[in-house]
Amino acid sequence: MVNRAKNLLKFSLLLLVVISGFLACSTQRNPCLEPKVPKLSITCLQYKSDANNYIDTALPNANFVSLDIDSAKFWYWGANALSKFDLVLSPLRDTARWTLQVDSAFSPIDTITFVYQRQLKFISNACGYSYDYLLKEVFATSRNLDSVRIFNNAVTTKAGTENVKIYF
Amino acid sequence: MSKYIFSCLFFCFPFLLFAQEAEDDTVSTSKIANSGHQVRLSFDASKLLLNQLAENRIAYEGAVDYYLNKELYAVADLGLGSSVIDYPDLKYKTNNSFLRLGLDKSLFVRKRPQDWGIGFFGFRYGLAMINRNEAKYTTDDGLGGITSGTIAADNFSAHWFELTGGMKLELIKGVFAGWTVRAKFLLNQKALGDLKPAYIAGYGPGEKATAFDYNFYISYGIRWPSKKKI
Repeated sequence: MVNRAKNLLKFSLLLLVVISGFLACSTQRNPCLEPKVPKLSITCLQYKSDANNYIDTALPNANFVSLDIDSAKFWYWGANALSKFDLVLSPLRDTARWTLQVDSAFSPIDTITFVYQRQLKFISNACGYSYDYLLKEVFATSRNLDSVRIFNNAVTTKAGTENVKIYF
Repeated sequence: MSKYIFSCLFFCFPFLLFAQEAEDDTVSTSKIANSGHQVRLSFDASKLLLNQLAENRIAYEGAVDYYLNKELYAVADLGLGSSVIDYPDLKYKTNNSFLRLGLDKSLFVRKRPQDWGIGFFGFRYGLAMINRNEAKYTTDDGLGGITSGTIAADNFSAHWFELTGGMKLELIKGVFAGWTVRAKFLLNQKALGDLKPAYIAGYGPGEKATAFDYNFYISYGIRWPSKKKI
């Protein structure tokens, strides 16, 4: 009995070293496997008289450009046959302006302004902090588009959410 | 995941072995006339090893157990520790002390007054008082810009329940070595706030509602005889 128990103790010591190695490795920062940046999802729709309804409409050659105070950043450039677009909002301000050109070849440019509230969010120790946004209002010019509506005002990292619908 | 598998194997091994032993030995359930008293003081040597291997945390753990009766031991585990999170986008420090109270039930019936080695299972209730310093964070979404800020320091407590198992073997008179494995279930994870501590000494990762841990104890038993009944 005692000899077996002592053998067990030796076995325990061996496992102690092995498990200590595993646990020491586990003290390293885990990789961040979650999306960190919330995307504002936009769906484009067009009224079809034969269906008497608005249906998803792929834009032929769309440009989405983020307008900053002193710069413009091209997010989609000549995006072909897309009806859904994912934009980002600025964590530095409470508004974000984007320009939309449905067809980069010839269509007029519209400006869309998103007004929102920022919410700091702790994701995990692996990913750190990020922001969620709550859309308050959307303003848009109507050179080419008809109107813009908020469909779901929570802009988060959750997939499959439609935040804003643009009607043509 | 692999550490959990190892922990489970580690946990099951002695019970398999002791089950074999039970076939060899004649188990006596008779009560010892003079069982004596013992207080066993233990310190966790495995944490000393881990403190050397882990860069961002320190923990010290000890335990005191007292033989009650009928193979039952009252146990108090206590300790303290700290952790440092120093990532490019997140920095903070935590420190905490903890206390665990519970019972261990020996799987063996003592045959003689000098039999103090045990293979056991038991439970604990754990309580940790945690202090987190001011945290600094940075966010960068690639397009919208980089932000940074601070999260105010905070104090909070964590409660958890544990299931334990293990053994302690008397190597020489009064001196024991043995291990304990623990499955821990955090009872108040929401109370830890948004920024949950990456490490709570005595429990483990504050972000996880379930944690596994082990201790390798070196112990010393202080004994005195029972008073003889007249």
